[in-house]
Amino acid sequence: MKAARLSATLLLSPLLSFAACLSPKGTDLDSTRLRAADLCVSQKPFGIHSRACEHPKSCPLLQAASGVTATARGAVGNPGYRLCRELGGEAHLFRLRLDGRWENHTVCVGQDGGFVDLDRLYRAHAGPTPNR
Amino acid sequence: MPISLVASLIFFASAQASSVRCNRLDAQIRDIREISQTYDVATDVRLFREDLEACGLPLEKFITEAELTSLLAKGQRAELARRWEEIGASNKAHKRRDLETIEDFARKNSLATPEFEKRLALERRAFEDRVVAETARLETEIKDSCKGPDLADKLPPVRDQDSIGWCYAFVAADLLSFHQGEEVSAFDAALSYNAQKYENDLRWSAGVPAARSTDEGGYIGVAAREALEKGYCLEKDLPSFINNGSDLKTAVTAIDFLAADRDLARNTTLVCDIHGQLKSLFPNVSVDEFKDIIAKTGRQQVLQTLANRSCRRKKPRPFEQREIYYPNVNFDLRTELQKSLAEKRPVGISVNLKGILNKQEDAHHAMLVTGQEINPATGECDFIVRNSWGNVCAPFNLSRVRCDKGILRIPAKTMAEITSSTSELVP
Repeated sequence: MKAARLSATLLLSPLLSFAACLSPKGTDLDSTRLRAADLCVSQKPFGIHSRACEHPKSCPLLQAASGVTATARGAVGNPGYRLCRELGGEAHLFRLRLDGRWENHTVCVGQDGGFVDLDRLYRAHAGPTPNR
Repeated sequence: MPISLVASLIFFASAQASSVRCNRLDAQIRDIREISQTYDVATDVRLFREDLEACGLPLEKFITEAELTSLLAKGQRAELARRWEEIGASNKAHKRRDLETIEDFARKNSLATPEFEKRLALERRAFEDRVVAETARLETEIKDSCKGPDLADKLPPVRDQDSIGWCYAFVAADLLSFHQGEEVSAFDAALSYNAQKYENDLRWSAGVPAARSTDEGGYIGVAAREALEKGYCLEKDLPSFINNGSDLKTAVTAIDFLAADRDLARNTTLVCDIHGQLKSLFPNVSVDEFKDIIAKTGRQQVLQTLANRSCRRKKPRPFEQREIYYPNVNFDLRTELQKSLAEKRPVGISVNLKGILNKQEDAHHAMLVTGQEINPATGECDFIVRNSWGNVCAPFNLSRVRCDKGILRIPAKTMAEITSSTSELVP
């Protein structure tokens, strides 16, 4: 039943990307705030998010982002940071070792503790993107 | 002047001109005989006949009808032969047009014999074959020149400039990191840059608030040169990001604000609280040192002083900072980038992102070129460009560029559209 439901979800939801949640063992994470157990990594497109934010409907941050339009934009620097703050979240940069390479990633942490990477947050917001 | 006199003058002038024209008819025929050996004389013959009629003179006085017709045909054949010769010598840019022109001429003058058509077809095929061969040669040349390692392998992970406009400093720090083989602080690069701004600003020396540590926007080359003069800090001693839920801009503004207000600076509780929040930015500065610096240092120097206390400055290995502005009659951007990459040097670029963002607005930014590769979908050479927005790709127009985890792949043609200057460090 569970497998059938999962298959149906995959068939019906073209936007759903394959997510593999990292296990605490064997994952190198350099963060003052996140635990490896909370991290989920998705491919195609690449993204990092909390377990709760795997699906937009269960993620308040993504729900809020979809209501933000381009008129709220206009900033220097990484455009994702301002969006994150406008949504009441806090940007958090951390280092993660994936496939043997250390990488910097920034997530937006919502007030409920759920988080998504800035790129995914940006894609979720409505309208064209800002500059700089 | 009386009208009759004017009329007389006009009549006289006209009569003189007519006389000159009629006296030249012999010369015209001589010219036609000579020119017809090389050129089409249809126009000359037409003008001769018009002059003849105007002078009221018979053709036979100068030439027979048969000879004139013969000269006309001779001129057309000579013209055709001359044009074939010119086509043989013409360069690729004009050849297609020259072939069209000769075809036009031949058809208009009934010279399109089967031999002519055969030769035209042969010339056209030879030309097209040459074009195809040259295009293939150029494509091979582009493919052969579009290779090499991605120099980003020798750089720290893609950085995130947060929401402060210090992109130039992040690129300068990356250039220095590559040059030195260790991770250089971008925060320090920005502070040094802003420090030189107000050192050179006369308003500051006059006591007028001028450039500040929090100023945004700058030049890659100037930031790199400041490191050469003042030394640099390592990222581990002066991190370029803050992870307390705040952001870099708010953090530096808070320090600037504190330093600007002597009353606030004397509020120990507040200063300690701010030190606690911003500890990650100055990991080697104790709370007492922080209080001391805030209390005793002038506003313009406080951030630089905190930076100097937090790190032990290192002097970089000597380099020459090289900058080229585009468009440029002496330099081709693609060639210069490929040359630098072949010599294992990443290149900082100043760009206007307008052409490659989803939103069409001017967006002046700085990024770093670290490599090149053939785009498997288009067969074109794309430059690998490192941004400083973490892994954010969503703002980019992905029909114009490729993007993965904050690293762009930009076609060479598009690079030429968006780039206004390059900056590199030459050891």
